Amino acid sequence: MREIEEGLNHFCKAYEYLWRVVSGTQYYNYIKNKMYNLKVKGKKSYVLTVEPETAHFEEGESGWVAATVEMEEEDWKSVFRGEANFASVAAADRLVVNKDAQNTALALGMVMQLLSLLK
Amino acid sequence: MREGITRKVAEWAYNLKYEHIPKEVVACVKNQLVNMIATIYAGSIMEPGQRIIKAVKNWGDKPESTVISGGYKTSMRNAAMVNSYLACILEFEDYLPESHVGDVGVPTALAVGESYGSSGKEIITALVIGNEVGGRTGEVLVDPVHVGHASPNHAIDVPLVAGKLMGLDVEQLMDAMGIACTHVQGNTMINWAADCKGMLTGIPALVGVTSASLAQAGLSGSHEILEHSLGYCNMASNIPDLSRLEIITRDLGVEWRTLKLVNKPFPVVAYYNAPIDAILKIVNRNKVEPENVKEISIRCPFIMMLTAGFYSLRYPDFYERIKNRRDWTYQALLIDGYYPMAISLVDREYTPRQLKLEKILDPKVHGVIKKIKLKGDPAIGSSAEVTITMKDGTSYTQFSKYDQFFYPEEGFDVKKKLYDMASGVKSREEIEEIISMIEKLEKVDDINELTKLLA
Repeated sequence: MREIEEGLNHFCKAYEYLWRVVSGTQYYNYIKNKMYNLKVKGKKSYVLTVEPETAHFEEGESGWVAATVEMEEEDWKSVFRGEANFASVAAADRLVVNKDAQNTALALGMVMQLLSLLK
Repeated sequence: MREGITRKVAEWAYNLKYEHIPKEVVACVKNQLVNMIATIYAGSIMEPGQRIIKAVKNWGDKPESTVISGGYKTSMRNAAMVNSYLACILEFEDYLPESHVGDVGVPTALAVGESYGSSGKEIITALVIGNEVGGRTGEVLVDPVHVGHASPNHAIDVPLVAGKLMGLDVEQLMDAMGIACTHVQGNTMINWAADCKGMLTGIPALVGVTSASLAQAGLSGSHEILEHSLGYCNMASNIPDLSRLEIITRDLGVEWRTLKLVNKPFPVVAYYNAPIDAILKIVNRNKVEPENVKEISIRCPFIMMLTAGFYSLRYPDFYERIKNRRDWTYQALLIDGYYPMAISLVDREYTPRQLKLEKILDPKVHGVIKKIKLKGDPAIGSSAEVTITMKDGTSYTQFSKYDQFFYPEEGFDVKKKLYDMASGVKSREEIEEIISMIEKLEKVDDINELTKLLA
């Protein structure tokens, strides 16, 4: 799980540093002011909060999230290595996101992948 | 302000005349036509293209409009559908920054124009309407799940292209949009790997032409279909702020989206244009044998990483699926990107000819795929830098500079593309005649003069 938490840490730091760049993309409006349950299948769960200029996470689960993203640990690792996003994991039918939550979840996945590439 | 957007778009489309269109925009439309006809010919020789051509022929519809390369006519709505399908199945068409446009606009204009005996000037005008409206709606309907070919925006532009050529008035153009927008045209991403991916544009073409015909017959559709909170845009896309709808009519007839049109040089998602261009330059200028390559290092557009390996990195049996399953086809490769880059190195060209099954399964190509190392670089923009390192230590580096809309630095010759893609179907003289007619399209009295050459 250390790799996942390092990935989330990197995402939060990179987002704080680059939120202005992210705000220039179509994804920003879909992810700002949102909370997400990020679950590692069969293991831990994290609540990620994305604010306009910052992001932070903590272990746990919330009932007030915009989307829940649950994937195998290996798929999370590939996102944090910059090799995948939620759409490509969903294309392999290994991630199910409720229709109402698809836009915000997929937008978050794309931003996560791109920021991971900046490691 | 989103009030009255449906009416404003319809009024603009109704009032636009050829004489209002700047010469440089007309020149872009002519290039678009040559490029799209080349793309349709390319699609017509692919297996799924052959299947749809045969299927629609067997329907025996009223012969109104030409199926390009099909050797027959069918109803104008089915001709629009088939030609649009053919235009879409190779990711070889054109695009504006947020929307493909030619693969619905050109088939629609040719099919309806042929049936109505439209002039060349009328065809150009209709195509400009499609580009201007399609380009703008693409900027508004920007869900992360609805991008590129998956954008649901053609329910808006196709009825206008068709309706303009049918001579609909403002009220009827609004009806046509309303009818076409009855159902939200969302898409199912898993279908992008199957033959039916071409229906991403084929269905909007069919529905749009049908809707314009029904509007002509007096059926009504909502005249607030675009701007109403329960209208098409807000139902089709999760638009953060509906005031953004104003983009659809902003500077219509003043700023021309058509000028930003990009004609694709390779059959692949556009992100891969620059890396493929760089690979081809290296292998065509140097002695690069695939078996002697140690590594292919590609510094590529940052955004390309969102689709690179989209399927192949997730499915361990990706190529087995293409070999064994009818619902997994070469189309998945055009999004995934690794195969097009690898086969470019092996074959020293990348065209639809490289999408045959025996090539897709060639172990030599798969050996090259394993040697590709991608590094998304936010500083490189749309360009790419490829370094091929040989086992003996020799290395070759090529930087391919593409601007923000991915134009190759040295430009791209759409006529060459038509000669290449139509060569199996048409003689050189026939292709010359097609190009010559498009070059003087504004002087053509009846588009049937062109469409009879395309059959």
